[in-house]
Amino acid sequence: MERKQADYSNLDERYTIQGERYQGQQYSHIYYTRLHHMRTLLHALVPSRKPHLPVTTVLGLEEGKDCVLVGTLYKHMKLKPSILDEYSKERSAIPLVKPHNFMHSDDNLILEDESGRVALAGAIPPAAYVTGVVVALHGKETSAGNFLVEDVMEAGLPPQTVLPSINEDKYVVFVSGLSVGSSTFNPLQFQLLIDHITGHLGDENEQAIASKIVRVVVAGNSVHIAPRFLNGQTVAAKDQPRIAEPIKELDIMLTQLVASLPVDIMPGCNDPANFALPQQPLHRCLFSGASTYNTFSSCPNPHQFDLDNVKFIGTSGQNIDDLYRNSDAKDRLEFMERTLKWRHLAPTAPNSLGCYPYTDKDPFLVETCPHVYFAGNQDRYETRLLKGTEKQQVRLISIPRFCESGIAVMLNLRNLECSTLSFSTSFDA
Amino acid sequence: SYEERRRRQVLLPAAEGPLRRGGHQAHRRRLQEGGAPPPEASGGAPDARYAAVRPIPTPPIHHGGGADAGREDAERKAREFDMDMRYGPCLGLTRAQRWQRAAALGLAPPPHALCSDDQPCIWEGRV
Repeated sequence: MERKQADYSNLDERYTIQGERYQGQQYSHIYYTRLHHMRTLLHALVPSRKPHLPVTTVLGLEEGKDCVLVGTLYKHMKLKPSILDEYSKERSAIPLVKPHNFMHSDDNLILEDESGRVALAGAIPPAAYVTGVVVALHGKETSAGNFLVEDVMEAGLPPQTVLPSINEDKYVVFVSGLSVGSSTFNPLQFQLLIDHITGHLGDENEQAIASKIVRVVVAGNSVHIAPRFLNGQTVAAKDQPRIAEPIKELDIMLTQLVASLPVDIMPGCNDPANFALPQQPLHRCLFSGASTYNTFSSCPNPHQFDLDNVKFIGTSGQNIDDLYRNSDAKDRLEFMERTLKWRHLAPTAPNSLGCYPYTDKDPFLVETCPHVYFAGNQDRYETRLLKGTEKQQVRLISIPRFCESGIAVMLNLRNLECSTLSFSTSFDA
Repeated sequence: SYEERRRRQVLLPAAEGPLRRGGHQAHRRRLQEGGAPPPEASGGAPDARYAAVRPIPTPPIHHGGGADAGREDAERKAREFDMDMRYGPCLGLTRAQRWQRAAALGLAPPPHALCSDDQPCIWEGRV
């Protein structure tokens, strides 16, 4: 039985920071390029939605006059942790134990552009927005000095190329949160996954399905290093070999996979990679066994690629987790939908999500709509086919943590349908 | 009102410059003319904020040198380019890099403001 193949092209040049030189710049430049890029886009879109309204800057606002403003949103959050809280002498509303979600009913939104800022009121719920989103607002200035919003216009889904027609079933397997080295890691469960994908398990039917898997994408948090080794204290000589054990174990398991099919591995928040987005690819020296195969690809986070002209883009979940901390939605897929409609993968970067201070570009802007958008390390497996106003179709996938759920996601390239591969090692599951 | 908003002008979280007397407009005028900083003893007790500021390097004003007048003019134009809001923040970038960025974004910056050397912007070292 021969394994199917698919044409792969890697589109990660925008996420590598090889050529960047840090000169001590701050984050104002990344906000400027983001505003400039999105404003050019919105200025082109606004006339078709609100044809007779003038577009002004914040300083050009006149009281009572209906107009459209384009700027960056800033959400003032009372509960947002600040480094200055440690120095505050009085007991304030901020509790000592940090909550998971920093929202508060008193949060308010402010719109900012180069000329100034104005407080927002009206039809724009602070709970749905976060700092860093660029929107166009239709409304008027009130006598109180704030801007009463009548309508919010987001950029919407970007244009999408037509989904190529593929005649046969080809599958991509997504897995995240392997957490090799943690107490919740079950080596047998991971081994079952590898054996199934490589075709060592099951009868002819199952092997036939496994032979149609063309790629495996590991979306972050593949290792878990014990926190006692990472708290800044010197590690005793006898403990030093123990730090690298999870990575060595992961390498041994990955070597079995890469011997059989192409694998993309992305770093996550717990992996030995840099903290700020875009996380750079995990170094090849960590994978002395797997990196000898040409099917092994170490990729950055976020990761963008094409498989048989089907466009994929995804992250290891930090962008969605940060949206969850700062805003409200009915499920994780709704956060993912919002990032696509705002055309920005991580709008909270650099405000509450670490990010490299680019001077001349913002690499998280989404220019073309992907066909598949995935986020790793989420609580549950969820998926939805998002339909746009211009016939765009995006398969949104929320990949659960494998160490907790035993679930990997299988996507069919032919029709963008999703199913799960579920592994359990206990008989009563 | 316009005047109120202008006075309340605040940028997204970044370092704020030392406040001088006369407000933002007067400060812009002072910088564009290249004048000396206000003396620390003026107006009574020396203000602790001013004590931390390094002196502005003033170009020597010669009268009657054509090349010097040309350099002053170029410096003045470069300062105007630094202060122009349309091209974004100027701190942290050399003038040449900011010019290249503006050109790449399609903003058509004035060609005379392009400096070939690695000169930082007017605010460098003062904010």
